[in-house]
This record gives sequence, C-alpha cells and structure tokens, in this order.
Amino acid sequence: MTEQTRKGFHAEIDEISDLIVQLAARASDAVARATDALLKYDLAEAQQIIDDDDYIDVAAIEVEERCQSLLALQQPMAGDLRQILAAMWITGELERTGGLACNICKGARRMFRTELPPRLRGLIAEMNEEAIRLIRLSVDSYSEHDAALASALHDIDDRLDSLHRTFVKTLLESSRTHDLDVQPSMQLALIARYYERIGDHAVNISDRVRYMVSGVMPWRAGLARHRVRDEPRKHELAADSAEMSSNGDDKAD
Amino acid sequence: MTSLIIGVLLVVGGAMVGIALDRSLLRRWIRNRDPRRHHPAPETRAASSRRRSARHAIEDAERRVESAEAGQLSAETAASRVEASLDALQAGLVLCDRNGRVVAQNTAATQFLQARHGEALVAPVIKDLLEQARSGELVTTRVELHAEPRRSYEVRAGPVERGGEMLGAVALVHDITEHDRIESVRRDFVANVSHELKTPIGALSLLADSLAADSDPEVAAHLAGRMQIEIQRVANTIDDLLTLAMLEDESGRPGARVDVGAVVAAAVDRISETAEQNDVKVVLSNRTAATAIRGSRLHLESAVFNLLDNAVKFSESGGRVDVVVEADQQALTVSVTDEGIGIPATEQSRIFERFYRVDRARSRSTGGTGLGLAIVRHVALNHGGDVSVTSREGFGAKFTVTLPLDSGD
Repeated sequence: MTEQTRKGFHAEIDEISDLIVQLAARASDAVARATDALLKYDLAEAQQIIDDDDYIDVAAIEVEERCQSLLALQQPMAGDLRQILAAMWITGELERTGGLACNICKGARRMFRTELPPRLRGLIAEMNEEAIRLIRLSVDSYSEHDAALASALHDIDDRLDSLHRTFVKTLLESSRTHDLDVQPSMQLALIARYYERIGDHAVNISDRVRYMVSGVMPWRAGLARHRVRDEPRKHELAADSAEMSSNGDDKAD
Repeated sequence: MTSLIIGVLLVVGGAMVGIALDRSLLRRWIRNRDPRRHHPAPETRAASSRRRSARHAIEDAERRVESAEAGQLSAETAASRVEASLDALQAGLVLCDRNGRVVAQNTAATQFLQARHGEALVAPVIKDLLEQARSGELVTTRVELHAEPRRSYEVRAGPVERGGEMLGAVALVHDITEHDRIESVRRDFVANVSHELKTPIGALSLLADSLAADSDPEVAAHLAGRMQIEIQRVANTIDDLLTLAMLEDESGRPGARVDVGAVVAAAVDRISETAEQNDVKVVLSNRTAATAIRGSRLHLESAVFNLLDNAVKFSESGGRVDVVVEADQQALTVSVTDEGIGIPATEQSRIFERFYRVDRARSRSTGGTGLGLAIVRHVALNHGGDVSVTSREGFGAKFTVTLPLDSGD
C-alpha cells in the first residue's frame, strides 16, 4: 500500500469521525426539540421532528457505507480497524437515539390535551438536559479518544437513572392527586423510559470508545459473568448426562 | 633504552628537516604573492567595459532582489493584516475556490467547522450553501440549535466574481440569538400590552351592556360587582405602569438611608394576611445586622412585596415561603424562596419583561398585572443591584435581589 493511499485512508477516517460528531449533534438536537414539543403541546413540531428523523437515518447509512467500503478496500488492522468498527457501532446507537426522540414525539401525540402537572414537567426538562449531557460527554470521549472519560460515563449515567425513578414515583403520586388518566400516565412512564434509554445509548457509545482506544470490550463483562456463573453448572450437567446415558443429547448448551 | 634514544633523535631530526623544507616553501610562496614583483598584462578597453557592465548587472540584480523581498514583505504584511481583521470579525467567514475547495476561513469560522456539539450542525450547512453559491445563487438559511444553550445562526452565501469570471464563493455565519431575543421582546410587548389593557375594557363594555338591558336589581348588583373587579384590574395596571415610569425617571438618583431589614419585615407583615388566606407560611430570617443602604424605601418595599406576592400566589396550600436577608462585604441579598409551581427553564430569561406571562390563562385567574417582576428588576437596577431567579418547574423558585452596600460607610 503506497503512502498516498494511506493518507487518503486516514483522511477518510477523519471525515467519518466528523460525520459522527454531526450525527450526534443532530440526535441531541432532536431530543431537545422533542422535549420542547412535548412540554409545549406542539403537535406540528412533533410531526416535523418525526419527519426530520429521516435525515438522521440517511446520515447514519452514509457513515455505515463509508465504513464498509473502507473495510473492504483497505483491509485495515489494529487501531484503524477498531476505529472503523467503533464508528459503525456508534452510528447505530445515535440512530436509535434519534428514534427515541421520535418515540417521545409520538408519546406526546398520544396524550394530547393532557395538562401535565408542573412537577412532572420539571422532571422531564431535567431528564432531557441530563440525556443531552450524556450524549455530549460520550461524543467528547469519542473525539478525544478519552478512555477515562468513557469509563466514567457509567457512573455519570446514575443521575439519569435516579431521575427516572423519581419521575415514576412522582407519576404514581400525581395520578392520584392530579387525576391523570391511565393512557397519559402510561405514555408518561414510557416517555421517561425513552430518556433513560437515550442515556443508556450514550453509555454504549462510551463502551465502544473504550474498545476503540484500548481494544478492551467492556460489554463482554456480562459474557464473562455468564461463564463464571454457568460454566460449573454446565460441567455438572455434562457429568450428569454422561452418567445417565452415553448417547444423550447435550441440550444443556 | 638505546632504541628509545635513537627513536627520539630520529623524530627530532625529522622535525627539523621538515621545518627547514617548510620555510623554503613558505619563502617562495611569499615571493610570488608580492605585488611589486607582479606584472599584470595591460587591461584592454573591451575587458574593462565588460567588467563594468558585469558589475552593473550584479548591482541591478541585487537591487531587484531587495525590492522583490520588500514587495513580498509588504504583501505578507498586507495579507496578515487582512487575516487579522477577518479574525477580529465576530461573524464566521469561509471562502472557497471555484472547485469548492475551502481556501480561507477566519477564526470564528474555524470554531464552527471544528465544533463538536450543537454548533457541529452549522458546518454542513456552510458546505451546502457554498455549493449552491458556486452556481451563482445568493442563499440564506437559519440554523436553530435547540439544546441548551439555545442559539440561532444565520448563514449566508454568495458567489465571488470579478469581471464576469467566477472565482469561488463566500459564506458568512452570524450569531443572531440576541437579535432574535430583542425582536421577540419588542413583538410580544406590543401584543401583551394591548391584551392587558383591552381585556378588562372589553369585559367592562360587555358588563355595561348587560346592565343596561337588565332591570333585575339582583342581577344588576352582581354585574356592578364584576365591573368593580375589572375596574380594579385596570387601575392596578395603570398604577404599575406609572410606578415603572417613575422608576425609569429616577434611575441613578441617590436616596436617603434605608434599613432593608425593616423594609423586608414590613413587606412580610403586609403579605401575612393573604398568606394566611392561602394557607401559606411565610418565614423571615434576617441573618445580618448591617442592612442599611442608600435608596428609596417605598420602591424597595414594593419590590420585596411583589416577590412575596408572587411566591404566595404560586404556592400550593400548605406551602412555605422563605425570606432571607444576608450580607457579605460588598452586597446585601434578599432572597424569596417558594415551593410552588416554579418556572420552566426556557421562560426564566423572559419573566422580567413587562407584561410577559409564562401562562396567560393561569395568571389572569391569579390577578397580577404582568408588571410585578419588571418593577422588581427596575428597583434593583436603580439601586445598583440586580435580580436573578433559579427554578425548576414544579419544584419552586428562588428570586434573589442583590443590592450593593454603600462603600462610603
């Protein structure tokens, strides 16, 4: 591979990284807009946000395709390969974030004409801010290749989780004191869950960043736990089945 | 031992021979160099003129190099001057050539092109517009960023031509957030003031019509009562408008010494009855002894009363309002904290505008004039201080008035 094509390759990787930053800005803007539409009971804006989500999808597809062609044509290795893989995964997370913003809009439509109690409104505004802060931090960690910040996102996300719990608690109180119907109550519970999911996607992005920087796959911690927990049991089962019959199917796997 | 002596002798001998040889050579060389012994051939005229013209050519070339260097220097200075002045622009400027390649950008534009969060959305818009501008169009777009801090940008792009030849395109990015805010303040003020003044007049006219048509004394009494309420509303609005006008008139005028602690206590006393009716507890704690400033007692009391009135009005029954007077070296602060419905973050920057209402429908039932916080702000400004708010919707609000202490005493 000549010096020239390598240069082009890294320029291409930089461009992909810029596209992801733009995609994240679009996604967090969509979340902020969705919150506005929800709190201002603005159905036209809600529809506009749902329509505009196509831009996010198009941008995500563009990133994916560019990553694919880089993989196919350049066959990158090590850090370069990880960077491209991380870009593909992160794009997926951001596309979902945009999707969740749409879900918030649809929720707003379903509970139209429901006057929201002030406390729930305040908590929604707070969850919105927190979710956007998480997206921004995850993008910071991506742009700066900052694995330490990426690792910290798990803990930073605790605040959004606790806001989510407070919201559900307040919702249960409000549905008694403010005569909230079942339908809007359910929609509100779902909407709170969407914000919480947006935070989770930001944490996922940070996991991919840690992988990109260090090669460690933090999301495989669950797999490791699963092995520790289930391997001994599997051995027991295997021993049992061997005892019972020599040709039994090993369905324990 | 002997061999050593022989060796030393040989070396010394060799050195002496070497020096002798050297000196004869040196002498011969010096003889040759002596100008008196040098007999050059007489110079021909042609050779001399050739040499002169060569010298001229060299001088000429040197001069030319110098002037070229100076020219380059001045061009460099001019370029760096242009660059520096472009960088001083608040607007972002991006210039591309006819192939769409970016050839120049100022510092502000670089911030957009390298931005990471909200502003990252401006970069693709700049690129799009430059693309359109290269085909000869003049294009303008707005970019709204909805995540906090909210901002609005206007991006304009146009072709760069000289003598009918397309050289490229230029894009300009302006931050129009403040411009938009001022524009909406102006627009809303006109709408709000007419709403506030016309609504009670309209109501009065309807009530008067009904009164004229109905002769039943019971209905008439009821209608008259309603008319009195509406009249009171107009009177309140006019009173507040006059207060505001007076405050604007008196700005910057030093007043008598006022004990702010006593002013706050008086205001709390005035609100206590309304608070009791609404089942709201008002708790005053004065945490400082030095509470004297120069100013207007009347205006300060009306400012604190306005804050208390709002706090009680927007509290739920059983709520609590905390009034705290504090001081540090520079300033005195009076804060009023309630546990009421609070103010949405997006409205907090606008509530001190005249006639601005967060929720029109609700505030009409609570009976304010929409001028209370504008008065509070004016009083604070007149005393060299300011007022600020922190709030979360549904979780109460805290208004803080800061008043600088007299530096003279």
